[in-house]
Amino acid sequence: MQTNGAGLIVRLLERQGITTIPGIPGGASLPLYDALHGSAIRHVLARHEQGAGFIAQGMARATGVPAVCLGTSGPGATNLLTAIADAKLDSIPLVAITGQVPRAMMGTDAFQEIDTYGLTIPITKHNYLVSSARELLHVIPEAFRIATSDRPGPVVIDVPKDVQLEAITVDAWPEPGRADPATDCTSADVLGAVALLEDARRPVLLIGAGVIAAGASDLVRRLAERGSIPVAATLLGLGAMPAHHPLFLGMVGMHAARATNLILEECDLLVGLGIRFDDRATGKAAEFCPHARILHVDVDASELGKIKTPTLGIQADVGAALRAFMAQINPRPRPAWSARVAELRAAHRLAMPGADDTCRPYGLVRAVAALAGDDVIVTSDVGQHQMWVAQAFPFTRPRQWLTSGGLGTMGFGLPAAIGAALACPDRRVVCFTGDGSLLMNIQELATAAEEKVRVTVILLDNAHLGLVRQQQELFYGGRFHASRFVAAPDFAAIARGFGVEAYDLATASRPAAVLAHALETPGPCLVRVPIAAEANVYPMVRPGGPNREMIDRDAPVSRATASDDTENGGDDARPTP
Amino acid sequence: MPDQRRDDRCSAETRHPSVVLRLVVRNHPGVMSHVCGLFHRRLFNVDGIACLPTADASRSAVLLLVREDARLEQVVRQLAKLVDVLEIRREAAGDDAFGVVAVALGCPAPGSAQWVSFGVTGEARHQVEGYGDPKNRLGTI
Repeated sequence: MQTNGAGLIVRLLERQGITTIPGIPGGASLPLYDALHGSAIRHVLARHEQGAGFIAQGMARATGVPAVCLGTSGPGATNLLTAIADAKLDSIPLVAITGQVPRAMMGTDAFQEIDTYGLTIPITKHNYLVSSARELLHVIPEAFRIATSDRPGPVVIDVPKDVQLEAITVDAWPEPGRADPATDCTSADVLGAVALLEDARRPVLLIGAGVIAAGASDLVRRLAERGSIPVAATLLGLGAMPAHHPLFLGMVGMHAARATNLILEECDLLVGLGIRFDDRATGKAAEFCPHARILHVDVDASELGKIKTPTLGIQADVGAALRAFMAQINPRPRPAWSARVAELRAAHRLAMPGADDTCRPYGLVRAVAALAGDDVIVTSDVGQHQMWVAQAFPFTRPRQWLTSGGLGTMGFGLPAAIGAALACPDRRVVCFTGDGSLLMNIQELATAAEEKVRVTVILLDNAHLGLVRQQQELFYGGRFHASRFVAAPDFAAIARGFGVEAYDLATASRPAAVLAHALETPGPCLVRVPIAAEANVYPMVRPGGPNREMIDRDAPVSRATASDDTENGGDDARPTP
Repeated sequence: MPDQRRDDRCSAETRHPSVVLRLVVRNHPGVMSHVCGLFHRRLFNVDGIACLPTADASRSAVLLLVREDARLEQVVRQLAKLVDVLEIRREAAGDDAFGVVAVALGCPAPGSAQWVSFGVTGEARHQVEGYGDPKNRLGTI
C-alpha cells in the first residue's frame, strides 16, 4: 500500500479499533486531518484541546478501552498537558497524538514549536518523538500496548509534519497493540496472603481504581462475602462494590463517613487492593490503620512500600491474585468483628442534612440518583459537589463513576461526560459540577450541542470556590480571600446561548418535576441549582492530620483547634527542597 | 563517647554508602531526560552519571552513583518502570567505577577524603512513613 506517514497513522488507528477521536486541528497536524478525511473514524471537534483530552478520557474511563485525542504543535500540545497528566495520576489508557513542526525546523523556535517530548516525560507512562514514517509501524501498536498493559496510563506520540507527509510503501501491517497478559502472583505469595487472611480477626478490604482496571469487582465481592470482610473504597474505587451491599462501608479518608475511618482504625489486617495509599485516603500515613498488618496487592511494584511498608506486598494483577486467594479460602463468619462494625456504623452514620430537599446538596444527589436509575453514568468536577456525590450517590457498578481523583482537575466533568456519552450512546450521562469547575471548560457546551449527546449537567452553583472557602473557614481563621465570585454569571442563559436546553431551580415552582424532565431530555441539558455558600462537606479530616480526627458539622471546638493549628496543617507548608 | 562524637559528625552519606547502578537503555536523544528527570521528580539523590553507547549502538549503558539507603529499592522500582530502561544491575565494583571518570574530570573520587555527596536533597523523605509529620512539613496539601 502506498501512503504517507499521516495515512499510516490513520490506518493503524483503524486497525486498533478506534472509531471516535476528539481533537482540534492546526498547521502541524493538517496532513493527519487530511488522512482522516477519507477514514471511517469519526472526528469530534472539541473547542479546546484540554476538552479533547478529557473527552477521550471519558471514553476510556467509561469503557476501559484506550482512547485517542489529537492536538497540533505548540499550544495544541500544551493545552493537552492537563488532561494527559490527569490520565497519568488516575492510570487511564490514553494515546495523545500531536503534530510537531517539520524536523528541519525543530530547535529553531519555529512558529508553534514546543518541546512536546520534553514536556510530557513527567506526565506520561511513555512518549515518542517519531523520526520516520516507517517508525510508526511499531510506535503506534507499542503505544497502545503500553497504555493498556499492567497499570494503564497515557502515551504521547509527537509526529513532525514532514514525517506525516513522508511517502511510504507498506507491505505488511503489524498486529494491533494489545495489553500484555496479566501478571500472576506466585504460590508463595498466595500462601502468605491466605495465612494473613486466616489469621486476621478484624480484616478490612480497601479497594481502589486497580480493582476496576483489572475487572475484579465481582471477585472482591465474593472474597468479602466468603470471609465476612467489610469493604471500604477510595474515591476512584467507588462502584467496584455495590453501595447497597451490607459489607460496603463507602469511601475512606478525608470526607469519609466517621464510621468508615473508625473501622479502619480498629482493623488488624488491611487488605489494599489496587490502591496507592494516596494522602486523601490515608490522612497522616504514619497513623493510618495503626493496629493493622498490611497485605498490599498492586500490579505496579513501585507502589508496594512507597508510602506504607506492607507485611506482605504482592505485585500482581488484582484479579489474578483474588482468583488465587479464593481457591484457598474457606467461608468464615466473623461474628464479633461483624457486630463491632455494625455497632460503629450505627453510632457514626454519615449525616446528610437536607437529604429530602431537592434544592440542597444531599437531597439533589439523592433525587438525581432516584430519577436516573442504575443505568446512568455519573461524572463530576472537583470540589464540594464531588465529595457530596461520592458520599451520597448509590453507585452499583464499576465504570459508573468517572471523576478526577489524583490530579483533582476542575474542568474534568463536562468533557468527560461528553466522552462517556459518545462511548456509551445507550446510557444517560449526568455531570455533577460546580460553578468554578464548569467555567474551566464551559466552551465544551458547544461540543455537547453539536454532538447532541445525552448529557445532563447538574450545576451546584454557590458562586464560590466552595472547598477553598471551606478550608479558609476551618483552617485559616475564616479569612476568606479569592474564593468568592463577585460577578455571578447567568449559567442557564449561557447554556441556552450554546444551544443547550437549560433550567434554573431558583425559579422553578416544582424543582423535582424540572429535574425529572431534564433527565429525560434526548440531547444535552443543564440544570442550575443554587447552593448556600455556607454549605460545607463533613466530616473533614484536616489535611495532614490522622483520619481518626474528623471535624464534624456541629463541632465548634474541634474547628477552633483546627484553625489554630496552621503550624501543622497550613496549606502554605510546602516541602522544602 | 569519642565514638559517639565521631558518629555525630558523620554525614548522611557516610551512614548510607554509595552504590553504583548499571543500566542498559534504548539509545535515543530523550532517554537521559527520562532517567535524570526521574531522580529530580522523586527527590532521589544521584551523585554521578556516566553514559556511553554500547557495541550495539541501539543501546547505551548508564552508570548511576546513588546513595544506598532505605529508598534505593524504590529508586530501582521506579527506574524499572521506564520503558526505555531495559536492564538494571548493581555494579559489584561500587565506587571504583567512577574512579576513572573522577580523574578525567579533576573531581574527588567517590569515597575519597575530599568526596562530598550531593547535598541532602530529599532527606526529609527518607522517613516515608513520617509523611504528613509537621516536623518535615510534608503532607499538608
